[in-house]
Amino acid sequence: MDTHSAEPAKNPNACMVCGKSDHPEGLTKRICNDCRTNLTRLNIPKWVKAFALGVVALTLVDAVRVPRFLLAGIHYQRGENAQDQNRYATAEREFKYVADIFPGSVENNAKLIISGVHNMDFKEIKVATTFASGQTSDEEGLVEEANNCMDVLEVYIPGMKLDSLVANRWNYPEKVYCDSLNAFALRNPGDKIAKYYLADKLFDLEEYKKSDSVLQYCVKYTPKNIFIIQLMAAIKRESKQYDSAIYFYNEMLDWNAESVAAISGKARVELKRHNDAAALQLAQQAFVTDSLNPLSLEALAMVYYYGNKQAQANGLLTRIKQDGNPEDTVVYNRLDNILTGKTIFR
Amino acid sequence: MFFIPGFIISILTCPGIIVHEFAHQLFCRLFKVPVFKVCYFRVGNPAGYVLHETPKQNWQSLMISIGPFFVNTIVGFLIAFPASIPLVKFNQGDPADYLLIYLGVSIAMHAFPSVGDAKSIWNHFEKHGNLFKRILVAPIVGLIYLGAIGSFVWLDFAYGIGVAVGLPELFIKLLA
Repeated sequence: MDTHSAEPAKNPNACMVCGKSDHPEGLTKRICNDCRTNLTRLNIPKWVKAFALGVVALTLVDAVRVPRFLLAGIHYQRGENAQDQNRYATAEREFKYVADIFPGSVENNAKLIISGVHNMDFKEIKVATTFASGQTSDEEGLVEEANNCMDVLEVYIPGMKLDSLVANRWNYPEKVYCDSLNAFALRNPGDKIAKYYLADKLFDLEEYKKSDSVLQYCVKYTPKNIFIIQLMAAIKRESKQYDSAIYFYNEMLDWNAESVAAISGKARVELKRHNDAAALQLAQQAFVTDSLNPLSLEALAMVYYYGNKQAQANGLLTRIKQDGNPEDTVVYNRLDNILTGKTIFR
Repeated sequence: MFFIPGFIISILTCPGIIVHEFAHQLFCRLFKVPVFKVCYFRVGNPAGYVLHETPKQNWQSLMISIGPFFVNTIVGFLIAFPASIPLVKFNQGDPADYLLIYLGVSIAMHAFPSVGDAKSIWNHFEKHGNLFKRILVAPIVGLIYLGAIGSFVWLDFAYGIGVAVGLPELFIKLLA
């Protein structure tokens, strides 16, 4: 008897994955519900999980620092925005914040130097220069800008011969030192730095006409030097040429819209003019711009003093002494002399 | 412009390929589309792939194909962000920052859907879509092809840098 066992015919409805169950109709592939559920799970190999875990761990460890770094980035950006608007007091504050987090950032130190020069903040220039010196940066333009900006400090960098004279200035009476400077300037007629020192000393000795005349030489060669402009403004103020003084202070404000030296200088001009209300407004503006700057404290103290608010004025004098750096002693002594009546300001 | 063989770029940026394929897989999971095989990375062409069932809906197919664009961009940004501020903005990075920036750039530069993804979208819409839908999807496919051509001039790398470095910069500018 010829028998043969026929193979069971293939089930056209069988699942293409397990070959057992029937697949539900209406779907693209012949896959049963169990297999479909299994295949739609997120099956990830162990090595991919380990890789992901490593990346996540590294990111999280780094992310712990994000809030501080993000704040640094925001303050740096705000500093840049302020610099673009010539608001260098704000810019310096912002860059100082960044410097606390990234003290070694050449870019931030370059920005600090630029704003420090604009604010005539020697302390900050010194700190930033110490950190930036010997460092390299991809932003050559910025470093060059900082170097160019520091050129205005040339008036404070005497040549070797003048330097020995300046270094020993405290050993002589003021008049003797001034005569020595005058003699040096006569021997070196082309040395504008010597002339600047001489003009500055003549100003201290209240010889405003002579000081003006000597400083004109410096103005001729470096008309845009902010320190020369500041001295010129002070000479004009003390010479009672108030409009000229305001003109020079405004030049300083063109260079730095938040120049406390210029704003407080204008307040002093208004005090001289007996415009005490305007002086108060300017002194307050200087104080709001930089409440730690001894020049803003001095201007406000003077306004209080002439407004018969002796206690407030003395309070600000004490604050200059408490907050101040050794360089602020000049401001302290100057204000102390006014508040005690040793100097008649007006 | 210099030429580097594709397989070397694939090896150097393999984290991006892994995330790219994972993104396809993730979108399949979201739409409950069965996945038959996933190759996260290999030295070959394509460097990775996901075999899955054809989705029922056209838009699901589209999203599975372009999913890596969103996932790689977001993941690349998130990984690079903590490192980009100290390293790029202040030049004060440590080795971990360099590693994270490398990961961020390599992941973000693989955000562009591949030519294979573009073909997959087009084939799907050719079979299942009407003329209107094909017209709608054509610019997306065109953009993917443009991105693929652009990769010859390092467009993908530029995109990676943009996401890892440019986006954090933009983020800070907006917050400042």
